[in-house]
Amino acid sequence: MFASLKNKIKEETGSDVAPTATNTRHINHNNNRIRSRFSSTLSVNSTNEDTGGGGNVDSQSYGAEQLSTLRSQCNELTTKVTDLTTRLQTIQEEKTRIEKTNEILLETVKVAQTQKDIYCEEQEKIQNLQQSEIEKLKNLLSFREQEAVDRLAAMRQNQQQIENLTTELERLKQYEPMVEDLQDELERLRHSSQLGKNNLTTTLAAVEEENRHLKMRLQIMEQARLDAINSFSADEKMQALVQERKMLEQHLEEAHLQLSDIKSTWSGQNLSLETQVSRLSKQVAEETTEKRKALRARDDLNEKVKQLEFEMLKLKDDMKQREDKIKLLEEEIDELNMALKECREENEQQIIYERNKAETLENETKDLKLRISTADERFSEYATNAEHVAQSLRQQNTQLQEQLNEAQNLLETEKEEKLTALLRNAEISQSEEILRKELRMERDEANELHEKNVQLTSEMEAKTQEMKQCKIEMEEIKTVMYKNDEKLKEIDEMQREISEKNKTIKVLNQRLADLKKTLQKEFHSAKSFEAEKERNGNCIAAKPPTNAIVVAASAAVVNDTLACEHCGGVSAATSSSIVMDEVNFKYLKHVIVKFLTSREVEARHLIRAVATLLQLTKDEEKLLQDTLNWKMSWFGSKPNHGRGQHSFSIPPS
Amino acid sequence: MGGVLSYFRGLLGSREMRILILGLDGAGKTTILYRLQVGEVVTTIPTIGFNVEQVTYKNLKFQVWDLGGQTSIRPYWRCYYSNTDAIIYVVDSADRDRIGISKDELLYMLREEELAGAILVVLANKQDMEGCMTVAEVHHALGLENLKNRTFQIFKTSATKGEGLDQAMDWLSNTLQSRK
Repeated sequence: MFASLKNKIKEETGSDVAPTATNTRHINHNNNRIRSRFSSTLSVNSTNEDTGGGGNVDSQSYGAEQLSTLRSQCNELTTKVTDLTTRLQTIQEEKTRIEKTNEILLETVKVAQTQKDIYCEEQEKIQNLQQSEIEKLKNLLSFREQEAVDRLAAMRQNQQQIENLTTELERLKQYEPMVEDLQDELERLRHSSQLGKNNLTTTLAAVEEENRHLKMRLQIMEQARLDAINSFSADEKMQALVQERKMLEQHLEEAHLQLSDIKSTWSGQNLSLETQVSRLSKQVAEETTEKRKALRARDDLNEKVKQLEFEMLKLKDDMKQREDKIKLLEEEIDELNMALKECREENEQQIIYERNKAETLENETKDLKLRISTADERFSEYATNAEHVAQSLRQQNTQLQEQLNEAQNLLETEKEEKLTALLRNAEISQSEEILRKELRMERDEANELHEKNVQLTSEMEAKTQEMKQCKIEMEEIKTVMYKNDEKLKEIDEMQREISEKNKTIKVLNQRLADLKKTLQKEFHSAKSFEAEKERNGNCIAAKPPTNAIVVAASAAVVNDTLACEHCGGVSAATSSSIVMDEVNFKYLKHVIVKFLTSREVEARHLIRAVATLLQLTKDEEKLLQDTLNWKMSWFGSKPNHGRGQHSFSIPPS
Repeated sequence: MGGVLSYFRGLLGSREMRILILGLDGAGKTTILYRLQVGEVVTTIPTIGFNVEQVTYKNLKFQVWDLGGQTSIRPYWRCYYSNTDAIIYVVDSADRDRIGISKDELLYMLREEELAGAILVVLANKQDMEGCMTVAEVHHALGLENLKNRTFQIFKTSATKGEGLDQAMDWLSNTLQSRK
C-alpha cells in the first residue's frame, strides 16, 4: 500500500516536474498540493501510529476525503486482486489442464516413439525385403535377359524364314508369265480347233449341197431319161437305161468312197484335236492348281510375316525395357567396377610391396644357397682331408702297434730276465744265509753277487735306454735293484721287517673284515635312519650324512691301503648298496621335498626316483602309485594301506 | 571312443611335451633351461636334484626336466625316462678331457628301451669359449655317425650368449609336431 502510494507520488512529481519551467505558479500550487498531500499522509501515518495525534480540521477533512478515495481505491484494488486471484485460479486450472494435456501429449509422444521404433524395425525389415526382392529381380532380370537373347535368336530365325519365303515367292513369280503363255497357247489352240471345225462343217455343207445338186441332177436326168425312153424304143430304151444305171451306180460308189474317205480323215482329225484339247485342259488344270497353291502359300506367308512383325514389335518393346534396365545395371556395374579398381590398385600396391619383399627374400635365399654350396665344397674338402689324416693316422697306428709289439717282446724278455734276476737274488739271499753260517764263503759269494748285480744293473740300464715305454717300470726295477744292492748287507733286518710287516698285514686284514662288518651295519642303520626321517621329519637330518661320510672315508682308506685281492669284494659291496655320501643325501632330500610339495600329476613322475632312492620294494612303489592315482581321480577306491603296525597311512580321524 | 578322447584333447589344448635335459655336470643344462624359460642368463649353482619348468615355444607347451649331472647322481637319470618325448643332451665343447665320459653316458642312455621313441637333440654348448671343439669334432667324439634308428640333430650353442638355441628349439618343435 505504502509502496504503491510512493510510486504514485513519484509518478506525479516526475510527470509534473519535467514538462514546463514557465508555469511556475501552477508548479507552486502543485507543490502546495503535494506538500499538503504529503503532510496528510504524514498525519494519516501519525493517526495510525499514535491515536492522540492532532492536526488541522481542513487537513482532517481533506484526509477523510483522501481516506475515502483511498478506500475506494483500496476497494478497487481488492476487486482487482480478487479478479487477479480468479484469473490466477483460472490460469492455474488452465495450467493443470495444460499439464494434463502435456502428460497426454508425452504419452502420445511415447506411443509415437514406440511406433517410430516399430516403424524403424519395419523399415529395416522392408529394407531387407527390398534387398532380397532386388536380388530376386536381378535374378529375374538375368533370366529375362537370357529369354530375350533366346527370343532374338528365334526372331532371327523367323526373319530368315521370311526371307526364304520371299525368295521362294519371287521364284514362283517367275513362273507366272509361263502360265500366262500357256493359257494364251491354249486359247490359240482352241481357236485353231474351232477354225478347223468350222472349215470341216463348211466343207461338209458344201459336199451335202453338191450331193443335193447331184440328186437334183439325177432326178432331172431320170426325167430326161424317161422322156428319152418314151421317145426311144423299148430295147434301146432298156439299153440306155441300163447303161445309165450302171454309170449312176459307178458314180454313187465313187461318191460313197469319197465320203468314207472324208469321214475317216475327219474322224482322225477330230480325234487328234480332241486328244490335244484334253491334254491342254489337263495342263491348264495342273497349272491352275499350282497357281492356287502358290497363292495360298503367299497368303500364309503374308499372315506369318504380319504375325512376326507384331511379335517383333513386342520384342522390341521388351528390348527397350530391358535395355533401360541393363543401363541401370551397367551403371551399378560401373560403380562396382570403380570400387573394384580401387581395391585392385590397393591390392596391386600391396602386391608390388610383397613382390619386392619376395625378391629380396629370393636374393637372400640365393645368397644362402651359394653359401651352402660353398660350405658343402669346404665340407667335402674337409672330409677328404679328414680321410687323408685318418689314413695317415691308421698307418701311424699300425706302425705304433708294430713298435708296441716289439716293445712288448722286449718287455717279455726283460721280464724273464727280471724273473731270473729275482731268482738269482733269492738264491743269493739263500747263499747269504748259508754264508752267514760260513762267513768266508758268504763274503766271497757276496762279492760275486755284488759283481753280478753290477753287471745286471748295467744290462738293465742298457735295456732301459732301448725301450722308452717301459721306462717307468724299469726305473722301479732299477730302484729296487739299487735298493737290493744297497740293502744286501741289511737283508737280515729287512727280512725281520718283512716278517713284522706280514704280521701287521694280518692285523690289517682282520681290521678290514671288522670294518666291512661295521660298514654293513652302518648301512642298515642308515636305512633305518632314512625311514625314521621319513616318519619323523628332518629332526635327525644332520646325523646320518656325517656317519655316512665317516664310513665312506674309512672305506676309501681301506680301498687305498689294501692289496688288489680285496678290491673286488669291496666294489661288489658298493655296487649292491648305494653309498650314502653327502651328494646322494642332498639329492634324496631334494627329491623327497619336491615329491611331497608338488601336485599329484607332477609327483607321479617322481615315484620311480623316490623308489630307487629309498630302495622301496615293488609292492611299496605300486602302493605309492596307486595312492597318487586315487588322489588324482574323482572316483575309485582307496588302495589297501594295511592295518595296525604295518599300516602305511594315518587312519582318518 | 578314441575320437571322443581326441576331441576332448583338442578342446583342452594339445598335450604337454615332456623333455629331459641331460649331460655331464657343468655342461650348462640349468643355464639352457632358464634361458629357454625366461630368456635371460641366470646365475646357477650345481644342481643336486632337478629343475622342472614349463616352457612355451611357438604355441607348443613343453615340460622341461633339467636333471643334475654329477657323477654320483647320474644313475638316477633312468628314473625319469618314462613318457619322454625328447632329450636335449648338452655337451661342454671346451671340456676335451671328459668328452669320452659324455659319449659313454649318451650311449648308455640311448640303450634304454623307454627312450626308444624319443627325439635326440645334441647341443654342443659353450661355443663362445676359446679353443673349444667344433660341431664336427663333437659329432665325431660322441660317435653320432654310428647312431641308427634315431631322429636326432646336433646344434652349436652358447647358452650365455643365447646363440643357436632358437634353431634347436625350431627344429625340435617342428619335428615333434610333424611326428604327432
